[in-house]
Amino acid sequence: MDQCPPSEPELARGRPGPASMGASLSRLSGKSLAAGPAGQGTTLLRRVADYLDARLGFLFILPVLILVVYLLVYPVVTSLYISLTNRHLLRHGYTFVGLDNYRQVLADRELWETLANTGVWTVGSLAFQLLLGLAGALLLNRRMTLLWLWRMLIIVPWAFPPIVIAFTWRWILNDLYGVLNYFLVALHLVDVPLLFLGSRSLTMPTAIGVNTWFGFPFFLLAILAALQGIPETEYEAARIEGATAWQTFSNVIFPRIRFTLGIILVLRTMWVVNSFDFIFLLTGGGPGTTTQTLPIFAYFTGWRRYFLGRASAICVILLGILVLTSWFYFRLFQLSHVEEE
Amino acid sequence: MIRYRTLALAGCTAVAIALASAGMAWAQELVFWHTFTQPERIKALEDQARKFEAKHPGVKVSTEVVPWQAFPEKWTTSFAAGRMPDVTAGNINFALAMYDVGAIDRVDDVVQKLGGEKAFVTKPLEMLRYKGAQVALPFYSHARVLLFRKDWLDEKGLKPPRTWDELMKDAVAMTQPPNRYGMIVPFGKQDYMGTLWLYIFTRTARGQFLDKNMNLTFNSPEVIKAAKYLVELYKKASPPGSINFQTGDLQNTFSAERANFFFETGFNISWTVSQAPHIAPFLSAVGAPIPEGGQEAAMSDHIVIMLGKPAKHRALAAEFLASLFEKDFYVKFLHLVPGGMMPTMTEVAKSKEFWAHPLIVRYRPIVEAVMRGIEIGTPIAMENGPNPYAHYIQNLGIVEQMFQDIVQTNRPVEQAVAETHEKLAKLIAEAKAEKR
Repeated sequence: MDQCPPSEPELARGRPGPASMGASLSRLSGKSLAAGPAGQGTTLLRRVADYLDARLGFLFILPVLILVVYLLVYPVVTSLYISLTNRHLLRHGYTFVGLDNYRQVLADRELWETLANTGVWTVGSLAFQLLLGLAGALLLNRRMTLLWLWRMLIIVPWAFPPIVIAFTWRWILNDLYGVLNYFLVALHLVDVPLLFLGSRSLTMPTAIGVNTWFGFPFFLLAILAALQGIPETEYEAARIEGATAWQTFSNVIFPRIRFTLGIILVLRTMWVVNSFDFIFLLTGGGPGTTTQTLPIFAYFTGWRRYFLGRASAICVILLGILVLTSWFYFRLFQLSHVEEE
Repeated sequence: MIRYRTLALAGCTAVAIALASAGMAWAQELVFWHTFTQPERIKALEDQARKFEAKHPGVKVSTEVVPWQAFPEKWTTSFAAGRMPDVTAGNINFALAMYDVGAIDRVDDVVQKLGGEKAFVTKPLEMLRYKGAQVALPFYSHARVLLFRKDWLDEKGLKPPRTWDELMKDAVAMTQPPNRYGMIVPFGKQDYMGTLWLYIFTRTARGQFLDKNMNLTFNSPEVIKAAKYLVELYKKASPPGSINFQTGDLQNTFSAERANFFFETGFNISWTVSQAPHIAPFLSAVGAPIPEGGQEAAMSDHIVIMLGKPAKHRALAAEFLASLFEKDFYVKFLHLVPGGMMPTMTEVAKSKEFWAHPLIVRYRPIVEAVMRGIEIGTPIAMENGPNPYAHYIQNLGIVEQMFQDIVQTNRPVEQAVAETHEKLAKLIAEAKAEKR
């Protein structure tokens, strides 16, 4: 393989390029020890120091690499492994049980109810977050007064931890002393307070609504950033050619924000599917199991019933779903990328 | 030019690590977990740790706050990693599970050091005697009593309820939907309030959840009777939203003047005085109402202190544990939540110092009702003694889901109780199999 020469800035800094690193390596070989420059009286210590110096940069990033492997690769591999064992949190030792955990989990009716809930929760949250984020970004992209203030206010939900948001919303939505029901009754929009978090038909839409409030600013800010990268001349050209608002959106705006949309959809899908604390604190998965999503199901199985093997199997199923979803998004992204080129 | 940069860096790192290790090298370090998140209680325990260090040069006590919600994950993962703390607080459910798997050590020697069994209030100490060992020391106790504001009863000319019928009558009489409700019946799945309510009423109906042989007796006439009564109470007198209520919602609803009766501990005294002073003058309590042919009963709980295992400094840890019961510190600590944390030491329970706190004097009838609850009550599903399977009934949200199904899908109570029994029996059977 060809060695790349060091770049000019590298030479200027006196940093060894790939070629000198190769030479440094060869100096450590037996041959060079006998006949190379190292053999001309250079001590072994100097040669080792020289070799290590050439790789000092790698040494500096090594801790981060180890950390990344430890934090990303290790948990996934461990979860996969534990899902094939009968590991229990309150028992030392475990044995390999093959696919038993998967058989048990897949035979459980609760898993399928939970999967359906997870689908509704994810699709509902993402759809509303996307629509609201897109609409808000298009609105804020105009030359508005106090634009900085709107941007700051919109990001407020992200300033609070999920536990604060969940408990605040529990208070707002309470049927006895909640401020939302107070206004609904006072304005004669409803006769009796609504059970936002206690009714089987209302709780999931309410949870999706609160999650939309929390998540749409992320879409908004990312799309707004993409919108601001579109040159004004393209809008002008569209206007001159008599394009309608829809034609401007579909032919000028959408192709420019498609990439951003793809990336944030991937990220938000993973975050929403994996979201645990927020929905658990808001509804506890109830009433019944109407808002129980896969992470809550895994939590009950692993941390309350202590079946770590079975909980890991649920997490691996969740991982599989996320991988498939991401693959779908990436396919979409690649297509749009080709079209763009 | 050879600059030996890497070797110099490695040398410096080694020196830094050596210096840091030397700086951190205490002769003996005790790790102490506790579950108290209020700043006053954290400070009190920190101060006691510093006092212990002053008496034991070279000893460092590292305290770590582990909130209740995080405790199950914390201890199970630490146990799996072989890193249990030297001393830890917890509750009876945790203590039994931890002892069963060898995560904590017996503390009989500490009981003796503190004056033997007679030094402790009988019931809390007994509840922690398991498999022939004293598995933990009761640090403080509490019991749930039926709290209410008396002025609402006076408005309607009602008396505090002593029977199920009186409670139903009082609660219904005070209910004026959608603004005011007579009773809070919480069925939220985030915690175990629904199980707690059912347990109290089942016990007053002379029923039980688990028998002496630790077999499940959930599908019994007494449990069905109590469940039917609670569903009726919910439908007639509880806020509809209480189907999703958890602990915090009880106090919020009560202080917002939207509902009256609810079961709570004496912790509510200081909370009401500080957060809802307009209600404080009317705050009152009685024990759980009893059905015809029933019995006096209560749900009590005990916050415990345990010694982790394997212990690096067992003797020192036992000494620190004993120091938490030194009378001066102990009384001051209990007074941080007056009437909420009840003494487990006989001497303190009878002492003038404990009963002299102004809030305890002011709310003495409530505090006495709580003390009575501790005397006659047990933790959930431990009516026949300490039981490691109680956790499966209490903490999985299964009983709460049963109530939600009964109320929202009109499932017959008998059918719902039978189905819940099956679910719980399966879980307990799995847990027993795991133990074997």
